[in-house]
Amino acid sequence: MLRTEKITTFYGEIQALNGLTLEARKGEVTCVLGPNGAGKTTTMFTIAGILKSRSGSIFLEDQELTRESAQQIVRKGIALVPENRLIFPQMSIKENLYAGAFSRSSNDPSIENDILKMYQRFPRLEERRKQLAGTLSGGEQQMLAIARALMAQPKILLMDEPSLGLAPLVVKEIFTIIRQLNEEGVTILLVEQNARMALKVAHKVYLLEQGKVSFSGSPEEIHQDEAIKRAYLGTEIS
Amino acid sequence: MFTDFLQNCIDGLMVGSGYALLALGFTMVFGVMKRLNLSYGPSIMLGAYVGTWLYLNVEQNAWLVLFGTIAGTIVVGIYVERLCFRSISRDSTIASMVSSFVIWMQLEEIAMHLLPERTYPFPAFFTTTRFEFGQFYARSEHLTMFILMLIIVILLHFFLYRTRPGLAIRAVSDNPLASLYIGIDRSMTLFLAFFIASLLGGIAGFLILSADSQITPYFGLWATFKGLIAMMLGGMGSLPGAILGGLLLGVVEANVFWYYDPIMRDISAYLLLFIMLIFRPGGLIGQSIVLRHRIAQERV
Repeated sequence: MLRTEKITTFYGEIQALNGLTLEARKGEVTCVLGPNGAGKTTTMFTIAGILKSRSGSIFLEDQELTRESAQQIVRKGIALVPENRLIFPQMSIKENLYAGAFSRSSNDPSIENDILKMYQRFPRLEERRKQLAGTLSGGEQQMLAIARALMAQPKILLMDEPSLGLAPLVVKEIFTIIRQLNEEGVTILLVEQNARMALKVAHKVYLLEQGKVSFSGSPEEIHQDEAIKRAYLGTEIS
Repeated sequence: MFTDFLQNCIDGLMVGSGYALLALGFTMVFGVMKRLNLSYGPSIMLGAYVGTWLYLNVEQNAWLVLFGTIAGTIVVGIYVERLCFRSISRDSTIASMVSSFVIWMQLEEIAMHLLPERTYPFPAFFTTTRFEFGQFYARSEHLTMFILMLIIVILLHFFLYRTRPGLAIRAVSDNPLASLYIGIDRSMTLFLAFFIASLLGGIAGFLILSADSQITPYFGLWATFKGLIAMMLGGMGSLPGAILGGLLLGVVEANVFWYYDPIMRDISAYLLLFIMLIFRPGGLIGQSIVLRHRIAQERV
């Protein structure tokens, strides 16, 4: 579905991605794990077109996206749930959802219908639909960020650390949502630091170190590899 | 005594509606870019000079002057946007502000070369008449300015809250980064905000200068000051704040002018801003936004 081939991304002269190759297959949850500074968010930004890679290429279903602008990439079907949620704090929840459908044609009659679907999926957003989004709790903001990204009708959903800064119970809830979305057929590329939760939903895992993939495989394979398990899950897990 | 005060308030609201229009233009650009365009006033001044030039050299027609002023302001506004904002990186807020100051000097020079004398007449749509309501009265130009301000505010509200480009402008000013993620073309939106601000400025400039019936190169300085003060009184980047700030400034100035000393009128504006910045740094409306924003960031 989504492939990156040897992408290299720089911040000025600092190289953040060094020939990164990964693939997210249709209908699966692909998870990218790695320590701080490994290039996880940079990977997301490069795929979403916010940063440009100097070499290599990015494909979505055999369509090359490497040189497309960020707004073209949203239209082609990649939506990002950004780190720290980044909702529109001074707009109502309903307006946030409308804004999420910005890449669709404005007279698309199904937008209203899709908003109702989001309310069904996230009843708490419906209760507060007229409230300003900035007044929501962290978990609710994360739900809003997911709903906003889904409003773009993406083929693949990129999620950048959805568990960041949330209470453990809320993290559980968010991962339940991720699993549900995936069961309904949504393809997801997930970046996480919370390896334990991520491994429970992932079909395929990439470990990132210094802008490169240092390991890739299924969650079972990670559980079999003592060294990786120790580094990413801690020693107390057996 | 009390009728004097009410009459001053009426005068203040009328004059303040001009300030409100200037502040709306400032706040549109500031909201979207988070950068100050100091040459906003001078670009209106140059636009108005284009209008005056047409009046003196082509035809003595108020409509022609209105369109000349608006078109001139928009062209100069686009020039400023290209030079001071688009070509300078988003992070260099100070560089943009300083270069907009440099452009200000340039615009004043151009205006003085276009029409070298100090003062020129500026036409109005109708000759001044007094409308009387019982004990109170208002000048026709001021009444027009006030009513047009109300109409423009309603149209602007409709544009921002009911249309797609309006949604883009609000999204960019609310969260510039997030607006990229949902597929908004940011530079197009900045351009649009500049265009609308210039349109508002052109109309405001025409109305204010018509009421004064003359124009000098100092109008640029005057418009930037009044617009900036009104915007900061109301709260930077807030549309209702711009309107309230403009009207408040007008009312305070009119009362100081009447009760105290005409010379104190401009000083009272700065004093008002000074007091506001100490006690409510976010302005009338902005304060709650500042607080709300803080709460939103703290709540995780």
